[in-house]
Amino acid sequence: MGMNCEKQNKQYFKETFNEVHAPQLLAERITNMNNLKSKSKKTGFAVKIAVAAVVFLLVASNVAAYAVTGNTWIETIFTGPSAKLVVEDDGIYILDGDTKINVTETLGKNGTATGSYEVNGYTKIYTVFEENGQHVLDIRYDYGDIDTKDADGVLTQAGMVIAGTPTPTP
Amino acid sequence: MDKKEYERIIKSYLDAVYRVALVGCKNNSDAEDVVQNTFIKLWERKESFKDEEHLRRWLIRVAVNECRSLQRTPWKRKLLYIEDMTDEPKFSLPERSELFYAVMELDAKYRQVVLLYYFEDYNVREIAEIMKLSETAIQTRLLRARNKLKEVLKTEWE
Repeated sequence: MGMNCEKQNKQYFKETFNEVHAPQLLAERITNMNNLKSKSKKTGFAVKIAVAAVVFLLVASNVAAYAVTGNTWIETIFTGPSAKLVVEDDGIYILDGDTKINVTETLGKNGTATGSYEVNGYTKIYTVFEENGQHVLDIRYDYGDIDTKDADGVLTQAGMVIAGTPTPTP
Repeated sequence: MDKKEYERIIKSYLDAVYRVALVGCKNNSDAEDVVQNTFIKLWERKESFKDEEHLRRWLIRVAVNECRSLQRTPWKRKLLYIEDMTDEPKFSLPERSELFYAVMELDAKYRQVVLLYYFEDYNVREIAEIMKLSETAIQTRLLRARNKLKEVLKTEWE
């Protein structure tokens, strides 16, 4: 009975999980990912970065404290819950002193742009979209420690501190 | 690895990697990150694979590790739990949906073991290798997961 039961359970399990599929958009994004390197090799797009500016949009009450000392800069950004990061240039940004963010952008064959966002060796890939003529990464699921929530626990304001010298990606 | 081969692998294994990631993370947003990181590692890998099974096992192991790394990420994340997923899996039969959610309700340390055993057909020793745990730990996890499934689904689980 044991073996038979196990066999039946495996069958049941397989039938169930065979109905779980990766979202179509994810498949497209992953297929386009290998353009990340090839594009930067071909175009050298990621090379000359003087000061790559990171600007947040959307909320009128945004506060941005910005200090520049020589080649380094510090920026504290508060944004609305939709947290969009505008990428003006490729480069490496240092977040909160030790978190490395490597932003590159590439264009997939279907016209979908993708941004790679590396945090301490952990790479995230974002779809870059165009909004008001700017290239935007939607980072709503990642934000730093400076966030406020309303009484229901809904995020109303997210913030992060970005400091460092943007440098060319290799 | 050339682009054609990379795309073939995506086509063949994307669902398998996604299932491991979804079961490990329990939310779609993190699962997608895990899948992406797994395929980035594949694209960057220089060594070739001995055969398809070697490739499959490598992808699953990387996905398991990526799930673990994600738990350690310093970033705060807005978690989208499985119940809140807008694109949650649709099942053709209610009992399949019941099994899926019963598995997703298991503790994190049991979910992937169950998937690898019942879906991927790996034995205890193979799962221990993939998850870098002892065979005893895998056996214990399987036993506890079965008991829990038995309790929730009111069916025999072996």
